[in-house]
Amino acid sequence: MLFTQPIFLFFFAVVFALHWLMRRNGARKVLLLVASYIFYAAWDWRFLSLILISTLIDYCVGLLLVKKLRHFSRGTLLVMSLCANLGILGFFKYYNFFEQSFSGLLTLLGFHFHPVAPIIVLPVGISFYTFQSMSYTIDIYRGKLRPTRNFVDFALFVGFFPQLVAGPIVRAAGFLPQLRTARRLDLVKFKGPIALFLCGYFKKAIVSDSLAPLVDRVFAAPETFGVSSVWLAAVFYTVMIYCDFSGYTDMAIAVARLLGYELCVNFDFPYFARNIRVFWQRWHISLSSWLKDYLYISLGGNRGTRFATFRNLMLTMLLGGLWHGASWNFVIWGGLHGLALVIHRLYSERIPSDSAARRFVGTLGIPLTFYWVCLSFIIFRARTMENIAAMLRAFLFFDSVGSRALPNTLWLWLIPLGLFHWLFWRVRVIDRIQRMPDWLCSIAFGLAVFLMLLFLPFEYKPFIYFQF
Amino acid sequence: MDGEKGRLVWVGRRSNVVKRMGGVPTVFPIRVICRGRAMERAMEAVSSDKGLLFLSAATRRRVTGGCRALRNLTLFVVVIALANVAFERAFPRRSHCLLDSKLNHLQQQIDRYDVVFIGSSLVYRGVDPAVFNEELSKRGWQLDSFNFGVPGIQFEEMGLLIERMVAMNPERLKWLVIDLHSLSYLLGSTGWYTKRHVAWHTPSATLNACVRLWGGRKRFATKLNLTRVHLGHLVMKCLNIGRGGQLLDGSPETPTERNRGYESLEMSYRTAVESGGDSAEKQLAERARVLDVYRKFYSEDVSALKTRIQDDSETDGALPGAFDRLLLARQNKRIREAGMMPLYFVMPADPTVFPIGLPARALHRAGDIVLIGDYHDPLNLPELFAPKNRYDRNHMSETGARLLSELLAADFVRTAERHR
Repeated sequence: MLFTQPIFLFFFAVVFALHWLMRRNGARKVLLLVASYIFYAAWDWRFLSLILISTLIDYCVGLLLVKKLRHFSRGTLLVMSLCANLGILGFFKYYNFFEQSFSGLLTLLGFHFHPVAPIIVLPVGISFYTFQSMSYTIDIYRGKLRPTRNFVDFALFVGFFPQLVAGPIVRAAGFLPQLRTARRLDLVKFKGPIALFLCGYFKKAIVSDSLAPLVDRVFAAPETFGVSSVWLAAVFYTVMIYCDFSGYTDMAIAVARLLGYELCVNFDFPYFARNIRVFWQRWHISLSSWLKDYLYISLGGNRGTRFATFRNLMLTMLLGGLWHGASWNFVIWGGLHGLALVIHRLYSERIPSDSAARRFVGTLGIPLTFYWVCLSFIIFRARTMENIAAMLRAFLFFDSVGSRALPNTLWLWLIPLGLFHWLFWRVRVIDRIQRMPDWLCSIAFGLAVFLMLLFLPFEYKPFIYFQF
Repeated sequence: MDGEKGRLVWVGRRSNVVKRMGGVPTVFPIRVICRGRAMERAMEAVSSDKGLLFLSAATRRRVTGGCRALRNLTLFVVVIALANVAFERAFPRRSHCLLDSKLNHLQQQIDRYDVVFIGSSLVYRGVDPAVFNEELSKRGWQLDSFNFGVPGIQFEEMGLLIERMVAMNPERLKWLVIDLHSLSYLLGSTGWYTKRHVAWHTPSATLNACVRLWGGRKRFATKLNLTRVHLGHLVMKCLNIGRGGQLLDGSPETPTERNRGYESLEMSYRTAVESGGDSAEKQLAERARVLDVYRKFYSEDVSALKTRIQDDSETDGALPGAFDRLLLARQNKRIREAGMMPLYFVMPADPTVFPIGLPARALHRAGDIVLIGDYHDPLNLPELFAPKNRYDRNHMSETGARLLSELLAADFVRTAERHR
């Protein structure tokens, strides 16, 4: 069930109505939990068991962590929780990857090792809810959070359907307190969430799904396309992945708000970032902050030597890349960003902030960062090494022997898209809409829905980030 | 209610939010709760009890909030509806390349034709108007005919076509010759949500299609799924979903009609080869494969087919469902009102896919339709099913189309003379 499908609108209308018709907070939470599981089961009910296992383990470990146990230390409990969570994630997401990589390595060394590879289906959203669940136990272990005794609360925190399959990765400290008090309908501001949902829908269903066929054509055989088309595909993919993922997040936040809950912001106009560090403060914020809090800082952060800091940065980004998928593409993509962060750190240390060179580079910061992001997304998206090589040759060295071409007029699409994005960044349109009169909003929403349906591509495409 | 003392009084339909507080001088916004007669009744109820109606602030907020939400929702829906109506007026829907080209052609030359054949690809590929006209002229009838066969046409879509034809006010057109196979067609599993399917899903056509679907013999799950598909088409039509992109893409050029709407599959193949399309080889291979299967079927399974025909012929007397007959009657009435005569025939198709015992003859005997001929009859008309006369299992080849058109012309003359 995708947010952009009519079936979801029907599902949500029922959940919304029942939720606000119920007076007791407990009943509402049970309703939301059941709805969340139905939402997930619509994809594959068998994998609900994984969510339940993850939920049960971390609920119990959370409670045990604050008790004094004779046989288990707190550290052991935490390790047990992490092993269980990462074990499930590792098996379902990375088993085949590690198996293939290992047998590939052995083949290189002259051994022949071909074990039977089971066909493992990747459960949707497993990376998201596993990280979310893990953060709960780690926070309790660190003494930053008190465990909840209410199982429904915790299960709902793990499985809340707006953010279940593609984030944002919510922290317990931010979400559990919201579950303790009954949400009030009169405090829900409808205009903002509806505008946000429409905005997300526009990004996903109109922009991303319209660009997808063009991008797919070029990435399928980049060597047959000219330089301009390769550049166009790289830029379009960068736009597409942002619209796809941030569109999903916008819809998730809007849906949660309509039910009275607040989710964390996941994107803050990352393509206007002046450098790669700022980019990562604005791109997939819930993941980057998770990686920072639970991985980078756990590794030592920037408290050690300069080398240790760079090592921690690289490790964090490599693992962050691997989080996106079981493929070397993602690892290299993470490595590239790690490298860029290291270079940026070195540059920031060496060049004084008020120097002319810094100011000069600063003015070029946005296009330079965008260029780097486009470049890294080529590796993220391409499926074979040959494709990566062909794309990079055209993108970096303007070298291509291909004769096929996408229409150059497609570059013009970037103007309204860029303006639209810039407008939302500078004016904060959603906040403005919240202050508009009701009648004007109704007309604006009506027209927006009409226009979006008018330009809706026929086919529904799944969200890119579902696979992560 | 919200902690105030008092008891509920009956005030029209919305009494649950109205409360009476004896002797408490509280003004309340009754106008948002009830209007007109209900308001008068409320006032009567209040005055008879010498009390006043009272609403707490929270209730008032809830009531006014509800009214505001309803108003906003109504405004939202109205804006969408108006925008869609305006768009539909400004950019009339083009349904399908072939359909549009045939409609355009008829629009321009409606007074050229006396006979129009309507049906699916069976008709499109199987009736050659030139041969038909020639045969008629041999029999002393100087008529011109047009083939309005469109692949996969459904009965409801045919209704829409007939409406469009009637709207052209044809002066010369007197005979609509309709293939009865279309009555048995339901929305197929392929080609859903095409522009053409969306185009004919008016509310009434959708309703008819759903009623026919539920009156049929399909499995419950299939019926449910197809109903969802039909409703999806209706929503797509009403909300003009996806049409903006189509407009930006530009409409494909409408091809000019040749051969009075007829095009054999051989002609299509030749065109594909001449234009260098890469589908030509595929088409040829596909045809060889299909014909091979067909030959095998015809040589080996013919005895089984004969048995089946015997079985089917026993049920041939059965009339279709009441709703189908009603739709047919409506269609015939509409055609007759426009000064034309509806005639029916049954095209020869694959006997393993299309039921042999189509109720054509029963309908004819019951006086529901005027039947020119039932050609879906391998036992009596084996030459129409011979492999050389078939392009594939369902469609006629050029020689087959010629043969069929000759037979059709002879039967048409016989029937038309009776109903002139």
